[in-house]
Amino acid sequence: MACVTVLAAVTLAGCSGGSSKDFVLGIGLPLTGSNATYGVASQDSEQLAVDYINAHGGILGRQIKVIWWDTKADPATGVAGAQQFVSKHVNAVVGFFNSDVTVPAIRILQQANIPLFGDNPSTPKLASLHLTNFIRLTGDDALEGVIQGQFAVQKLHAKTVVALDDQEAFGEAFAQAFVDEVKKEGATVLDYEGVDPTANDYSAILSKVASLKPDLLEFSGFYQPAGLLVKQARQMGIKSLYFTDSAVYGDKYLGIAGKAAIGTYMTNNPASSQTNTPLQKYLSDTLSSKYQIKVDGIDANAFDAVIAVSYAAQLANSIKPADLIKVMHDVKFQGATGDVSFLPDGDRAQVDYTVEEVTPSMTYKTLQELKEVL
Amino acid sequence: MVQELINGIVVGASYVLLALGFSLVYGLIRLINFAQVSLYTLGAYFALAATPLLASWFPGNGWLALCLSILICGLLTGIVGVGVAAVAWWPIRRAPTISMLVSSLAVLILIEALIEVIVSPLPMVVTAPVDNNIHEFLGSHFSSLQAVMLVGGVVLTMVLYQFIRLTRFGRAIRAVASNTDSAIVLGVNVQATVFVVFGIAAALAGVSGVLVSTTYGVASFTMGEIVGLKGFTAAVLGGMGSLWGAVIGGFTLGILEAMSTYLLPSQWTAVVAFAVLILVLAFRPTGILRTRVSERA
Repeated sequence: MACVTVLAAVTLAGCSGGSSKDFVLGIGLPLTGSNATYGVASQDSEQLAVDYINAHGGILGRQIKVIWWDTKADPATGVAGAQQFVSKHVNAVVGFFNSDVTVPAIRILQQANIPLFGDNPSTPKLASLHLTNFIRLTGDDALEGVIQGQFAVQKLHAKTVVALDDQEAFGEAFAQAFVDEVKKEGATVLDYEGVDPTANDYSAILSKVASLKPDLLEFSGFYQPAGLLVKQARQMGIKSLYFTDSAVYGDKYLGIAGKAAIGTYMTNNPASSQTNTPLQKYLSDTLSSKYQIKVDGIDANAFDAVIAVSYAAQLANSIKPADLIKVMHDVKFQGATGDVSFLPDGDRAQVDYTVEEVTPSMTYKTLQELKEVL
Repeated sequence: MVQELINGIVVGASYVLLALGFSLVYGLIRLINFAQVSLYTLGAYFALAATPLLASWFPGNGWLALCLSILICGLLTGIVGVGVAAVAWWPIRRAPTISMLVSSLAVLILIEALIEVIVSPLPMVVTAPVDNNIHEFLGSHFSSLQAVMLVGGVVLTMVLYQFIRLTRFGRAIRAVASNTDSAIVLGVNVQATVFVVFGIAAALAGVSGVLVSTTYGVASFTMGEIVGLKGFTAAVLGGMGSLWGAVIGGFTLGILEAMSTYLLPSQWTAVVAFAVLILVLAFRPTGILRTRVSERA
């Protein structure tokens, strides 16, 4: 159905456009540096979305021309990218994956009246900025942290927890929400600290965790520290349950953690493995055949962010950035992440989560699908 | 507390090897050679290729494969280090120190960028060819590979010390470090001496990279940046140009970090470590030890 809808959208748009001029789309991602894994995967998905739209007639008859910008997961480089997009007169921007990068970059785009279709920037701060030029496909860290906290206490029966985060916007917001929720649920937070995400050796902080003997150790951040932490924790004899987040989900985490990953838990956002839409099937099949990778939430969000641009243009019947801003919050479609619609603050109206467990055969098993209606 | 000491000593061993490299080169030509940082990373990436290959050549003998990998990767990194000296130091040896410093920084960025472009921008999983068993000591735990890291650091330090103290080439190094003009008069080949010292420093950094990436199971093209800064800090803390200063600085920094993480929230680790560095330098600007390579007996 979604394929047909998008096809109709872009074809109709094509009839009304008719100009040979391109639709210029700026996409900012961390293509190198510490978050390149996510950036490169997002780039693959976003390119597939661009190819899909172009193959079906483009946006209002215009082919999408992408200007890629490597943010290196660095806020200053992200701001430079936003300035580059403004100077290139892009019609819309998709990005920037990292919350730390998105927050300063969106100010530049706001001043230039250019819409930002956020793929995976998940800090709660973005919704609180009351931005008129912003929507995002990903859920809010704080809300995922709440769901994780509830699951930890209600389903995993954790009475004592230690929470660690990577001291970055994503991890801190997530862990803080988790800590607040487990306290609300009646569990005791024995310790909550930040760790250096670039470190190799976590034995010092894990010694402290070992002495506290928590029922559950939670880490909020990305897959490299998540994998190293659980690997070294198990080596040190720490038997606490290990719960981490959606940014960790994937094969890289399993590779770094090795067998220590078995029996660990993580939330996944959105429930891409549970979604069964034509666009999800297209994304999943193409990623698998072209890049030999399995679709995950981050890929699906990135894909849908580009699809959302085409729907906004159709709704506005215009490719002017100011016109896209006027209608972007009203965009609705069935994408690779399921039903997509937005709230006035730019957040998604509904985000689906799952809790996954790593099985002894080193695969992910979905334990529970959680619907979060905002 | 024993566990924290073990943690600090193991981490400190990786700082020691880097600090030794910084101190050796600085002691000889007063250059802070930041290229060391990228050679640490390069060592890890050499191991990424060499260790599985050696493990396949010696099936069932993982320890032999690992030891050979450490040796070969150290040697390869050492050769690259000599190349760095030939390309980035020798042509500008009479230029102001700041030019040489910038040159070494350029090498750092260049090597990292080459790894990123040629290999991958993504972190790579490093598989150890041996079982990383856990051992207990006084109620604390450490892994086999952590023990290798510590023993490797100590053995290399001792070998280096004896090399500089007892060999003819070691005497040449001390002579150049003491007074280059006098060394030339005595017939020392200064160029060869400096090249070899660059090679030794690079090999130490490379071995450290092999040990750390194998122990923790991951390598990335930026992996040297933070640990390199710590290695440099350890060299300054101990006394830049002093071999034993590098050892003391490395272990002191590692233990300080481990202890502060245990006693305070871990966000404070860097604050405590660098506050101590500032304090030490305020009272002893030359670091904990004042001796230099040239003063080794």
